[in-house]
Amino acid sequence: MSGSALAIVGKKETIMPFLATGAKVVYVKQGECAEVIEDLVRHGTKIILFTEEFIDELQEILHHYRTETVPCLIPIPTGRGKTKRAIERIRGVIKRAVGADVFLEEK
Amino acid sequence: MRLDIPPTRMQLLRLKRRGIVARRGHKLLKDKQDELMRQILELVNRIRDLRLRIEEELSAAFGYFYFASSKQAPKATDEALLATTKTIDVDYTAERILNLRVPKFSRKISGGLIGYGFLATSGDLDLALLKIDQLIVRLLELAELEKTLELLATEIEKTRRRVNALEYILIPSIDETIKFIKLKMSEIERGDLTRLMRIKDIVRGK
Repeated sequence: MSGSALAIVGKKETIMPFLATGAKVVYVKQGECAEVIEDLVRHGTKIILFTEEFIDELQEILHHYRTETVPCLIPIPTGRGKTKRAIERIRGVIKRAVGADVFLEEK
Repeated sequence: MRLDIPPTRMQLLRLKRRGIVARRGHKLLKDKQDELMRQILELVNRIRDLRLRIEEELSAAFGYFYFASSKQAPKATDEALLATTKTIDVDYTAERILNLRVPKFSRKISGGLIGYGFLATSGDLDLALLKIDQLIVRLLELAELEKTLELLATEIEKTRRRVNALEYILIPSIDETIKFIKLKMSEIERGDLTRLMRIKDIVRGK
């Protein structure tokens, strides 16, 4: 099925415009994101982009699929305001691996 | 820490062989760790630039979108978004970096983005959708890079543990045990020699 390989998950107001791109867009509310993503993975979705406000509820799933090639779970910015959660997460991953904070933002 | 191994010549030979293998393994793993580190540092800059760019473009696109949806009826926005004939299909192949399989995504995009009329929607919606459409390609690229980064990072952690275990635990304890067996054996040899001399003395004295 077309569009099923790529899904975008988030609150309706933040991901609505992605409907036009042909990707599968799934609206979720706080607290149900993990379930929805599990379901998408079960149906073979390879790339799941979710808005970064859901990072906290997804820690477990993110950890679980950390070592697998797919699915690819990637937090995306919400477009309104900068929460920086996704960048913080990546920074944490790099810090653990390299042992130093090399992900410095150019300021 | 000394290994719990009987101090015999056989064990000494075995340990020496193990020591050589451990050293070779350590060197290999160390090289692997260095290579992973090089790869990850290369990725970090690319990801950072891409992320910051995406963030900027996304907020610009959303700006247009909110502007457009405030100017037109909500229903018109919904309809306009659903009128797209665009489909995006993503296929992935696994590429190898050392022992890791990292995803490489290829995409097939078809259809037109804007499938709605001019009347009910504002021009800002066109701008917003065009921007978002360009963004989706970048987001795919980001997905690919971040997944690679994550895989590399976990592999580095694992490799580092192994390197350290070999370097600080296994190799030193093998060395220590080899030394212990050598000392023990020369001690036994000296013991034998003195015993022999003593026996010889006893025999001669008789």
